[in-house]
Amino acid sequence: MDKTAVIIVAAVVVVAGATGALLLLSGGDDNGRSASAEGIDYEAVNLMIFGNANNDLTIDEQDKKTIQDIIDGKTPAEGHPLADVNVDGTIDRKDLDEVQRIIDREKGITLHVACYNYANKKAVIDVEYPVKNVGLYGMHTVTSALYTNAGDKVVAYANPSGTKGDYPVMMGSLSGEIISSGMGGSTAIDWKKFMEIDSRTPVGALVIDTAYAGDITAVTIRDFNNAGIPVLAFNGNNVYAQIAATAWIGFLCGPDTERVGKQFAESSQEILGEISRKVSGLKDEQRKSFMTFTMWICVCQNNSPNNSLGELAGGIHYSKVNREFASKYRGNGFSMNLDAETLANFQDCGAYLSIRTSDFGSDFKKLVISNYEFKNASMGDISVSDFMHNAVERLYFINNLLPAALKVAYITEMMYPELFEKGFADGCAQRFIDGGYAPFLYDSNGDGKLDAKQTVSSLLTVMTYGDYKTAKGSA
Amino acid sequence: MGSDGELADAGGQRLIDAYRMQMLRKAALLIACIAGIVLVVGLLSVHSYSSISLRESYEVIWNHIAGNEYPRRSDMWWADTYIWNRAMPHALAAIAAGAGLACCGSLMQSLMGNPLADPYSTGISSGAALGAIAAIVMGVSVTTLAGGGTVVNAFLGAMVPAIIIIAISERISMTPATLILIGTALSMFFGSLIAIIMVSTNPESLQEAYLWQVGNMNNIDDFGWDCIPVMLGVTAAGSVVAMLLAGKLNVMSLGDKSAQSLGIDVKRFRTLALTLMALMTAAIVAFVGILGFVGLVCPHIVRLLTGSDNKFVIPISMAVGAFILLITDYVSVVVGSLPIGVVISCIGAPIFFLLIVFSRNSGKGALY
Repeated sequence: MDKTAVIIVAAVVVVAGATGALLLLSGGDDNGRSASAEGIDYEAVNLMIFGNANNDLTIDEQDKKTIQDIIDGKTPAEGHPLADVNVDGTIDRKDLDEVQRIIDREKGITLHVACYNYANKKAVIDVEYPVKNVGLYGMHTVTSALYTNAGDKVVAYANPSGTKGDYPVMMGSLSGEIISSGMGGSTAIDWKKFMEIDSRTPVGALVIDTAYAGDITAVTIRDFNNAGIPVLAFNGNNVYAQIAATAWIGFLCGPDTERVGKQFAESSQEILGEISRKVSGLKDEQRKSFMTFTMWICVCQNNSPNNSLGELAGGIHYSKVNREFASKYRGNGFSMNLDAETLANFQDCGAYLSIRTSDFGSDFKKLVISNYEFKNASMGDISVSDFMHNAVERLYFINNLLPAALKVAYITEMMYPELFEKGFADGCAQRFIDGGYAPFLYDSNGDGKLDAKQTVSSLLTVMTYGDYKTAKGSA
Repeated sequence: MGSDGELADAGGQRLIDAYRMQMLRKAALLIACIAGIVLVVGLLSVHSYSSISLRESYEVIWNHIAGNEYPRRSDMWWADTYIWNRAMPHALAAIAAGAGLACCGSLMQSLMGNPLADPYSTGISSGAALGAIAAIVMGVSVTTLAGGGTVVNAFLGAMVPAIIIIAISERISMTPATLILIGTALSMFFGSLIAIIMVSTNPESLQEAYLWQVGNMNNIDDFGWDCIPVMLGVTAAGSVVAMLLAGKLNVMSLGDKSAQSLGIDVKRFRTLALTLMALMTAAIVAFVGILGFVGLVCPHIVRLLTGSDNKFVIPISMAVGAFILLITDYVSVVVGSLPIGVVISCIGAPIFFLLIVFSRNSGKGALY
């Protein structure tokens, strides 16, 4: 009997070892072809759909010509990674046939989108065109979809930053059920509810912000794969990726949203391009230093993605000019260790940018006073002015619901008034308002139709200390 | 042996009746646990997809096993997907963990002749915790496979103290008490290393490390069926071995000298049993963390009710352990915010206390 026991124990060891080795060596569920995504610039503002051979914001005859030139050897394939329309590794006649179907916007064709998968890896995800019912997860996915006027195509959404109930004006065009269990701000996703929604209204695609990719487990992704629900992710913290996502979300949802998404991306691209041209020549010593806050006065750490707005605006992050700050705020999140001394040694920063989310059309006066007089026990029970000391006059609140390019425009105008004419940012805002994007429209008479446009002032774009003093004076 | 008729005197009849009662009790306990497991599996399934009834949940499970499919992406299709990919791995993991830890606890207590022995007495839990926390806090792991780092580290970490103890016991003749003391020393050493890592980490990692230590089903939630083959396979094979060793374990519980005089190579037997327990325990804690209570208490519960014959204690402990852990998992899932390790301690400890205090035959079958 001992011998039997020894044999069985040995067998157990072998089985455990083999299974362990299998797990170690297996690649896991990829959800998307990763190899074909190499060579594509994910930070560029392009339409990230295969078939966009010339790397612009649409798929049209120009792309067909580019593919033909590549096949004929007139143009090198390098530099045109999206020319391989059917993603088979070669650019040939089949790609020409395939791109023609896309140019014709043939219903039922499969589009190949270059994005991220649930595991935050570059991947090519296949989606049937047009996408009828969209699921969204993350604030940037919601805003990207809304800015293409695709709100009525959303059947389910989850946004840890808030729901339609929290932002009824900006999200007024958003249809679909909320799938995050818990109150607004919770990150608990009720995928069961999503699946119940899918059983009634088959979801065409789920778009997620890579910041929340970890909320989707391997089990959930396998369920989505079995159901044939493509999961497309993009880096919501990257401004260019946000803009590009607006373009491909718009494209995927059909001709109407494609047009709006393209227009939005073009406007954003032009604004960012103009800003970049003006600030790119600045030397480091000429750049204005900045630091970023979130949740009123939580300091964003050195590598926080929230700092990208200030950097795109031409600023230099404070960690690069102050070693003590750099040492204290290492990381890519934000610091909640707050007391009245937190900024005592960092009073010489050029600008303090606080990213706040404020629904359009809210009472500006009330909001600016609330922002500058904020005091919360969970954040050290200190007031904003105590926290900022003498630097409160350089504290600016930027509305997080604005398009990314617009946020950058306001920041850059504040930082470099000498480079940008007064009203530059307001002009950009008016351009977006005139673009007919759903978040900038509202129902003026309660008939359910979005018939009125916001104004520049109702967008609550930026709040300054001067605005606060004025509001207090008239309060 | 004569027939029943030949044992006609009252004393003999009482003996037979008592024996039959005891066998009935054992069978009843086993059947009750199995029935309870079946019920809780259904309840877990209903909880996982609440738009179906208990009866429908069993239908879904049966249809899945039978290969009957529902229309794709219909409500029942999603119910089948949700139940089969979430509730079932949860249930099987709880069953495997409960059964495996209870089996190891029975083995350990009989082997060491110590009622306080449990599967972690050789320091396995601390070794596993060190491996897991190294992966969680420092990102140091053997594999880069998503989620696999913690599991593999925990498994390998669990084997380290076990190997040390087995190697020492091969070279030096030790009593069971000495073995346990060495296990305690190893636990303290690994515990100090864990403390060093945890005092210098950020709050998020600290929380994750602590959650792992108390025992949780997060790996099962995240990876589903991937976790089951090793847990279930090792538990199943190990329990077969444990059953084969049950007779000799009964002899070992008489003491080393008595066992030797009855022809058992005590040292070799102990090495074999420790190896088996180390593998089974490591395969479980690697996936669910350090679940306490089950390995220590289930064998005692069974002995209190059915006697201390390991041929019955081991399988019935496994059934009781599986049932208890499954119920705990269900409570944990329903409550939503408590890890299974916390729930089992909250529920199990008072129940065990009451069982001991109010048991009429408190000395019956116990090792103490």
